[in-house]
Amino acid sequence: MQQTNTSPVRLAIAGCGAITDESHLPAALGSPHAEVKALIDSSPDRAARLARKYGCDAEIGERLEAVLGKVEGVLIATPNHTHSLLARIALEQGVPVLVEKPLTTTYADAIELCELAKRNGTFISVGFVTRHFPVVRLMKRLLGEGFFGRLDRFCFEFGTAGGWAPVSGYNLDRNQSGGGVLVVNGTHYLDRMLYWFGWPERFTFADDSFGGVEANCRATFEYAGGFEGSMFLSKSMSLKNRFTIEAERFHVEVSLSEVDNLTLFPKDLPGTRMSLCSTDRPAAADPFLAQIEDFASVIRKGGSPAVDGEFGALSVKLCEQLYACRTQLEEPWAWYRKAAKVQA
Amino acid sequence: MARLAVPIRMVDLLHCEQVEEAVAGCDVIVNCALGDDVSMIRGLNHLLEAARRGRPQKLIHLSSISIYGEDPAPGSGTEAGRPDPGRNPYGVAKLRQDKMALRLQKAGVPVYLLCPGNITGPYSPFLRGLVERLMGGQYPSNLVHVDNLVEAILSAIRTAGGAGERYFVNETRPVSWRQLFQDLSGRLGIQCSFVDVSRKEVLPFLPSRRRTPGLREQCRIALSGEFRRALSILPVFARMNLLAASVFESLPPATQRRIRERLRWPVRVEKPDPRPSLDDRYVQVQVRRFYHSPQKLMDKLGWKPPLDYEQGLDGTASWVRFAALCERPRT
Repeated sequence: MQQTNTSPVRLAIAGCGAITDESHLPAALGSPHAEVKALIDSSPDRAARLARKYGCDAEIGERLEAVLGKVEGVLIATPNHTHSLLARIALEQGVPVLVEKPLTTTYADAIELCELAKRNGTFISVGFVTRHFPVVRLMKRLLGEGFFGRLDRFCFEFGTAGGWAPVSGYNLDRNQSGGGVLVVNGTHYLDRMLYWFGWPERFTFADDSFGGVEANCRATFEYAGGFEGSMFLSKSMSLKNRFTIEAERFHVEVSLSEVDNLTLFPKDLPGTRMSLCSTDRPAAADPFLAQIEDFASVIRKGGSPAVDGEFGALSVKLCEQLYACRTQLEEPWAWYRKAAKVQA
Repeated sequence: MARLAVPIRMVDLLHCEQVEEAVAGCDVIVNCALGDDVSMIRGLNHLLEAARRGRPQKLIHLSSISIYGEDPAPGSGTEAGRPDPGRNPYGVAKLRQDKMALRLQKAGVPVYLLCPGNITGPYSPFLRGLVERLMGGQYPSNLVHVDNLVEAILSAIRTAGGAGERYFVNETRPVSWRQLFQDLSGRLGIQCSFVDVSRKEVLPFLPSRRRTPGLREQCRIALSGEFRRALSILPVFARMNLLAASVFESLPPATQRRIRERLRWPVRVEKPDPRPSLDDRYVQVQVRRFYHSPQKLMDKLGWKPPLDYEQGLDGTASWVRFAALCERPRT
């Protein structure tokens, strides 16, 4: 009889910036199913400091290649433009990867990685951490069962003034991040949208970039049967940070940081609201922990990760297509642009 | 700025080597850094050290009208007034920064101190808060549109003279809070109802005027279960707490009750007050009585604000609509 390997999965973490410090490393160290064997960063000092901070006895290095023979999985949390190269290095050795979103900065790279993984008998998991929120799965189930009745429209609204500040500042450089607020924050919501509603038939996109990364953008989406939606994202102001659906039976609201509950406003009972959550399983105390455990579980037991490479590639494709049909966002308050136009 | 295709470099102001490397070869340094008091002072120190060595043509430091305190004294209408932030921590830190920056002027690098009021315009968090709390006030608002502040920075960069001094950056005429609220709400189509709160009522709530708790209040805190439980994490305090509790429990019940009543009573039940909290930042900014005139900025640095009050407000209102700030929450 074959014995199941229950030992913790040996992990290397590539990239020791803010997200690893605040989320990935604590989650990996807190998981009984993972063991951090190596911390890789272009600055080994930063990696060593992180290891000291968490009392983690990991090998410190600058090159992923050097540790690939000693680990069973690699978590990649580096600036976006390096995801593809690092993932390729691991996948070529048949080592599975958990790549922070977005999977890559181009769709062609994403597809190439998926094919490489297939050829080498391994897999890609994409770090859309919010997919591990029970409310995201509950929404999928309710949509699948037609619980809300006919769907009319949806809206994602997310904005913070400033917000996430990676150590390397890659998010301020379009070549490194692959885009602005759409890529850095919006991909989470594009992923949820694709998960819940599938690929839209038509879309429009407008942002306020002038060659650099956009700070604000608006997108609209159209689906079959007249169902439509919008996305409003901002890096320069706080917004309501919520997802809403207008449906036949309910107005539905979910705060974008909400892990468990969705709020329903029944159309046939005006002036009331109710809260709904899944009893299937308790909310993971830390979605990053759930994500690591999902990755470790696929390594040990097989199956598919919550977000596989092919699905992760879809949001990269949608980003690319949205940027391709981009128009300039109207800023009626920007008098200086009008003045510059008149002068020109 | 990241929207423009200009190279941007991330620097930790608390890391002196990084700062020195970043400012080397710069013609002008504009310091807009914000952080906690320690970071603001240490960060500026590193920046000034780097400037001393790098010798830029100018350093423009963004100060604040808060160096005159939350309730400035008469005479603060012009820069000739003596700054006095009182005990307001932000004002104290900003005034300390001004003094540090002026030392660079003595070392031969021209320094300009720009003191804006509350910055408004598109994307202003201050404005956002204001829109959410439209209320009334008779004193000047001292609000400056962000584009006019940017023009002040550019004026300081362009002008040869006038270094080593402080300049208010403000609207070119005083606009009262009430006027501002009426004009903004009119543009947004919001019905504005004003709540009367007197200046005298708000003054005790200003951070710099808050009284420290009296002896009785401090005793009440020290003897509260919450405080004793927190201290009891340390075993030595846990033992002392147990000892104190056993001494207390050995007292006659009537005495125990009297002590408890003395410490806990009277229980205050407040009537609901429909007015905004006097602790609210947007209420407190309205106690400032004086308009800080930007006349000196116009005279000496040739500042010509690109937007007058009305134009600034028009642009701001169009942004408020864009950001859907006036949308009412679902009930």
